[in-house]
Amino acid sequence: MAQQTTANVKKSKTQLGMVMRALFKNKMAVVGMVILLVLFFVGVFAPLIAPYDYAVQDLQNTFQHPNAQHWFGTDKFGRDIFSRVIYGARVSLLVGFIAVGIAVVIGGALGAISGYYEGKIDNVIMRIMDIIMAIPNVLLAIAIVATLGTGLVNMMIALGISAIPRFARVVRATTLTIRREEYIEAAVASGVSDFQIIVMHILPNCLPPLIVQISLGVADAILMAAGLSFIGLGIQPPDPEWGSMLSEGRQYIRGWAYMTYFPGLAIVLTALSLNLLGDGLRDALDPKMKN
Amino acid sequence: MSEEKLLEIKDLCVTYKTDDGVVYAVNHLNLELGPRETLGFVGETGAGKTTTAKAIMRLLPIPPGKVTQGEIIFDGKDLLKISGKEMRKVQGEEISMIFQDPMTSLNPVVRVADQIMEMLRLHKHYNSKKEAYEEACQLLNMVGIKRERANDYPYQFSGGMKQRVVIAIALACNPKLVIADEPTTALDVTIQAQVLRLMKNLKDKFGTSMILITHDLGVVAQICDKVAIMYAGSIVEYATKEKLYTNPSHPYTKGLFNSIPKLDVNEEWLEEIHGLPPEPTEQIPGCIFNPRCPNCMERCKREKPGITYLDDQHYVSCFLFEQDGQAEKGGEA
Amino acid sequence: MVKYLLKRFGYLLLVILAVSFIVFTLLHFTPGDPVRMVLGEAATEEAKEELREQLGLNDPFLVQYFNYLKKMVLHADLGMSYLTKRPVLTEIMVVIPNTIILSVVATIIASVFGILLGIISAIKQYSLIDAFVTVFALIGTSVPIFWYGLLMILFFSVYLQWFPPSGFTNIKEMVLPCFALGIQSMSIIARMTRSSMLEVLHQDYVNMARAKGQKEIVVILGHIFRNALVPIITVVGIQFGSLLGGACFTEIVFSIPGIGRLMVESIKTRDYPVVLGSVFFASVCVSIVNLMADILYAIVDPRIART
Repeated sequence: MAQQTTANVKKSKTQLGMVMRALFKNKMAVVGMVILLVLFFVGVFAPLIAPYDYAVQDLQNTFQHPNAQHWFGTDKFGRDIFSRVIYGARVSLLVGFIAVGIAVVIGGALGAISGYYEGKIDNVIMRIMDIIMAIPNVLLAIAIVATLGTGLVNMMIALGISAIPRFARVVRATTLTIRREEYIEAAVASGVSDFQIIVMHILPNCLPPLIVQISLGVADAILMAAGLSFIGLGIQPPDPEWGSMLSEGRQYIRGWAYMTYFPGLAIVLTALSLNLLGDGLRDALDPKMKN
Repeated sequence: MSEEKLLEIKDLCVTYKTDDGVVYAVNHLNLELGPRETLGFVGETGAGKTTTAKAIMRLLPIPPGKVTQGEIIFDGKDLLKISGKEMRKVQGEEISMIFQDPMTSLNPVVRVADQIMEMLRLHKHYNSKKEAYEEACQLLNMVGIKRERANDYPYQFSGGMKQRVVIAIALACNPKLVIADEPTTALDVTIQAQVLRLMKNLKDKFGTSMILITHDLGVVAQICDKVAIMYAGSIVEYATKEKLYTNPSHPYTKGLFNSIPKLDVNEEWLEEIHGLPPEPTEQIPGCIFNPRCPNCMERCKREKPGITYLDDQHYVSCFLFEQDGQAEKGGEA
Repeated sequence: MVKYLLKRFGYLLLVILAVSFIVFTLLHFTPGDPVRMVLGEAATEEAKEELREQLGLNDPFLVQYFNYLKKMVLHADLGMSYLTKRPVLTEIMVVIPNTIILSVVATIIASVFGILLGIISAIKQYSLIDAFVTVFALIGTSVPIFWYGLLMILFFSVYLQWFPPSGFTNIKEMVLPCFALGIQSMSIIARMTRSSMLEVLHQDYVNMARAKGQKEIVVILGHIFRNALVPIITVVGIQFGSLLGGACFTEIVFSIPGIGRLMVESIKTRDYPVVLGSVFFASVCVSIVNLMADILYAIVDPRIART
């Protein structure tokens, strides 16, 4: 038994090695990873990098075009846009990852239960997922925000709930295939509890497709968070959020277009890096899917 | 050699470009076929049989495929040189093809009658759609499928039935030549015999020539007049069926025959041909078969053998037979 | 076929029912007292209680839901706007034509150009146009519409002054928003078309059609594309849903009075019946489009309706 475990560990290590090699060979995925790391760094060390406080108003210096003091210019209250974009990275990544975290935990559990037990319970869970998916994501998020109210936490919950079905589906699909494997049958036969089987055997096997979906899902969540803030339902000023900064910029697009350039670029860079990484991971994990 | 020739392939070379390098799929292939003849084209998977067939039909995917040299003379025309428009007239009307897997060679979303009618209406003139439909039904009837099933979709047919439909399509315009690429490999053994018999009967009835690609010498014995043995992109032996079966000469051909179980001998093990066919990108100096040949000589590792005629209907590409003094390079008669 | 259609239709009803339940639940738990919203702050307790009784707000949750459902089915009644005191459905009907034009035109733009780009890039794999489609698809999923919409206004309205930046009353005003909304789906449809074309490109039946002497264009459209169509229809169907979501942003960026903007404005004024009525209405639209996609599959691929 012990031997078997070490063998498994060894195998998974080489598997991981192979995936990593394939991933690093993919130039686009590496670019995505680098951008994402930079963004993380910027988000974590925002107070050290940002030259100004994101909320401090400077009414003497409003509507400054980009210059040496204010690289990205200033907004209508004279706040430094560069600093706000820097702090925005922190907010966006936080929202994206926490929202997806909520979705992965709930969706993953539902998917695993659905795929493991099959039958009626599977039917019920998946029909509910189908129904949630019948409501366009944006509308569902809007409806939930409308009920809960605006703000950071409520937005995370709304985005998290609307992303549950996609993770439930991924985990269920993998669980269904693994469920038939002989080592699961063997575990069942030797009296291991269902919970243990799911946690020890099934979930680890769901990881590869799950990681791909997480990467793509965080990108979607960040885009949608920016969207909700853009239409005024997400994070409220003066908290720095790229989407709400765009919404401010929109009012001054004639004459002060720089206000829309930088927050938008930041959103695109973030989403792009996650999408590149997600695509790269998918190709690395499943070379057959590539064309 | 037969007097009139329907098809003559001279010195055909086909390559594919792949990520791993250039694949030499067909190398200096020479072949001829007379009217009403059936030629069996035998070789292992990857020997270049299908590539040759696709080259004749001009169906090679280009790129990565490429005909680097040679001629394919059909009925006086070089198929590699005529325009696309002329070629489309040849395809279907003069040469048609039966593909390996009937499961995938019918379009899954089109009714079978429509698939037959597509062929008919491309090459024949009809006054009405009804007329073409009528002929499609007759063709189905000819291959043993009831006309009530004309409006069914391929998924509603079994594998053998599908291959019958494909045969009906191939013969719809009464072509001079049918190329059948392993037409029975994907079918059950019992169905195989039925389909083969059907093909032979129809071929005789219409006076069609046929190239039958197969790796099954048993199938060849049933319906072929002549046989070409292909190995790694070249024809190593060519003969009438009788001559080949009574006097297999090339070491590879002998190997093939030895690997068929014999009913009258009690064998513990079948003899095998040792080793594996060369990697497709590999270029072997000397005779291509030399690494696996039980009769390999020093010369075989350096020079490529030419063609040696054992008699006017039997040639072999091997140095073993050259000492007879009838050696002849290049295969020109 | 009939059985398949009935099944799909039954499923549509189930989805609508479930969505109505979700929407009602959300509405039920929204903060704010509808009675106070309707009568205003100054109303007496008795008046409030009377209205509460009249609206059935004192009934148990499920009874209220049942009444809501009954009104919806029998009278197409989605409730009343707190703000304008008009029926929600009326409010929606005022703005829905704009949203429908916007999303239908955008869907057409997205499908036509997306499919065309996808076909060309699949046939000319590894060519320049193929590389373009790959990059375009990547950008399409990473660039939010509310940003490139603004950039389009900046370039085409402010800088070039070709099109007006807002409004939706004539064709000139419709060009920018329709393209803005269409581009994103276009990129996704192009990518899907490309990959599903590539999947069938080397099937035997494609070679079979060529071996019949069929013209290449007929082979591509009649045989390859026809078989690639099912996944493409799925994507177009799904895209219509996300397009309706994207329409919210487009309507706000280009100041178009549509259902998305109505929804957002209503959230800000806490006019919940309008918000949730709109969500419900939009979801029903999406479900109907998905049903149409399902019916189309069955027509395109006879194998689907068999089960």
